[in-house]
Amino acid sequence: MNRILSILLLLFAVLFSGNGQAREWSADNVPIPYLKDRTQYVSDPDHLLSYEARDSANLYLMKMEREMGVQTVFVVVDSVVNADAFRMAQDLGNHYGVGSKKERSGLVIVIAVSNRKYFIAPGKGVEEHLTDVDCADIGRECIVANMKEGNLDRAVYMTSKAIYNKLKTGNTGFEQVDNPDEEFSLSDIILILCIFLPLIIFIFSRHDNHGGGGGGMFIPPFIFGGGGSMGNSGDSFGGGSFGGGSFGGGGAGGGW
Amino acid sequence: MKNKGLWIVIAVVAVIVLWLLGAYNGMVTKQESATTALANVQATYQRRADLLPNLAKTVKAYAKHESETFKEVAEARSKVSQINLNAGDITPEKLKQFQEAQGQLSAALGKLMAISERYPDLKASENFKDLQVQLEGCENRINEARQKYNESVQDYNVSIRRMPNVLISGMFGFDKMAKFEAETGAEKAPELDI
Repeated sequence: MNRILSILLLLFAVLFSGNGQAREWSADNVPIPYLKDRTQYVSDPDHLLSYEARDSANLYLMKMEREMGVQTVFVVVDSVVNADAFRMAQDLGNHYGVGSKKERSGLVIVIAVSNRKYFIAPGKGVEEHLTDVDCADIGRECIVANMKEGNLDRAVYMTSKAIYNKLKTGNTGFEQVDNPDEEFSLSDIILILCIFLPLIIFIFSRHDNHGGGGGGMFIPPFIFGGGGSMGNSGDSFGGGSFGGGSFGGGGAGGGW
Repeated sequence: MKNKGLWIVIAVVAVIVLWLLGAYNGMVTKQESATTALANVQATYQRRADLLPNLAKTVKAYAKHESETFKEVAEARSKVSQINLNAGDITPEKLKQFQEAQGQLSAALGKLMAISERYPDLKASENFKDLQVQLEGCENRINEARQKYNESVQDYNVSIRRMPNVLISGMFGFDKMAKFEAETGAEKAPELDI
C-alpha cells in the first residue's frame, strides 16, 4: 500500500512539477481580464510585467476607450502557438469581437517575449487613423528598441502611450517615432529620468535593508505618467464586454 | 371527416411552404455573405495593385536600369486588371485563372522588392521602407480575406448540399461555389524585417 502510494505521489510530482517549459498561448486559451474587470486591458498570464507598467498601460488604454471609443486588448506572453503573433492578434480580435460592430473600433497588440515577436493589429475601422506604417513605426521605436534592451515594461508603456497620443492628436508624442532622424530631445531625457530614477532609489533603499524582505520604497503605480491609480486587485469595476468588431489583417509586426 | 382531412392537408401544405421560405431565405443569406466576401477579396487584391505605381516609381528613382523587371511588373498588372471575378459565375477554372494572374503579379513584385538588395540607398530609403510595410499589410489582408471567403463558401456549400435543402437548391439556381486554393507559404504571415 505504501509502495503504491509512493509511486502515485512520484507520478503526481512528475506530472505537475512543471518542466520549465512555458505555455504556448493562443486566442482560445489566453485569459482576457477585461471580461472580468473593464479597467484591465492588459493580459499578462505569465506575469512578465511589473504592476506599475501594467497599471500605466491600462490607464492609457482606458482613456483610449473612453475618449475615442477604441477598445484594446494588449497581450503580453512568453510564447504563442507557432510563434505567430499576427495569427494570435487576428484570431483574438475576431473571436472576441474586440471593438464595436458598427465602427469596428478594436485594437489588439501581442508581444511574445520568448518568440521575440510582436504584432499591432487595428480593427477595420481604426486602420485609417492607425495605418500600417504608423503601426510599424510605433512597433520599431516602442517595442523593438526596448525589447532589444530587455525592457518589457517600457515597451508596453511606450506602446500604449504612443498609440493613445497618435489617435488623439495625430502624433505619438515620442520624438523618435514622429521624427525618427532627430537625436534625443529634452522630453526624452525627462521621460528616462522619470522611469529610472525611482528604480535607482528603490535599489539603493533595498541595499540598505541588508537583503531583508520588507521595507523597500513604495513606487506609486502612476509613476509611468498616468493620472492616478487603476485600483488594487481587491477592487472590482465590473466586467466589460466586446462589441463585435472585426479585423481584416491590417497593422504591422515583426521581431527583435 | 371530410373537413378534418382538408384541414390536415392545409396544415401539411403550410408547413412545407414555411419550410421552403425558411430554406430559401437561408440559402440566399449565405450566398450573399459569400458574394460579399469575394468582393472583399478583390478589394484587397486591388489595394495591392494600387501600390504598384508608387513602388515602381520609388525603385526607378534608384535603379533606372532594371527595365526588365519594370516591364514584367507592368505586364502582370495589366493582366490582373483584365480578370474580374463575377460572384454569380464563379467556377474553379475562373478562380484558378484569377489566382494565376495574381500569382504572376506576386512574382513580379517579389523581383521588384529584391532589387533593393542590390541598391543599399534604396533599401535605406524611408519611402521604400514605408511601401514595404504597406505591401506586407496588403499581403496579410489578402490572406485574411481569402480565408474569410473560403469559410463563407464552405458555409454556403454545406447549406445547399444538406438535406432537405438539396431537394430545392438546384431548382432555385443555388450552385456550389469554388474556393481559393492555398498558395505555397500563404498560411504564414510575411515577416517584416526592420
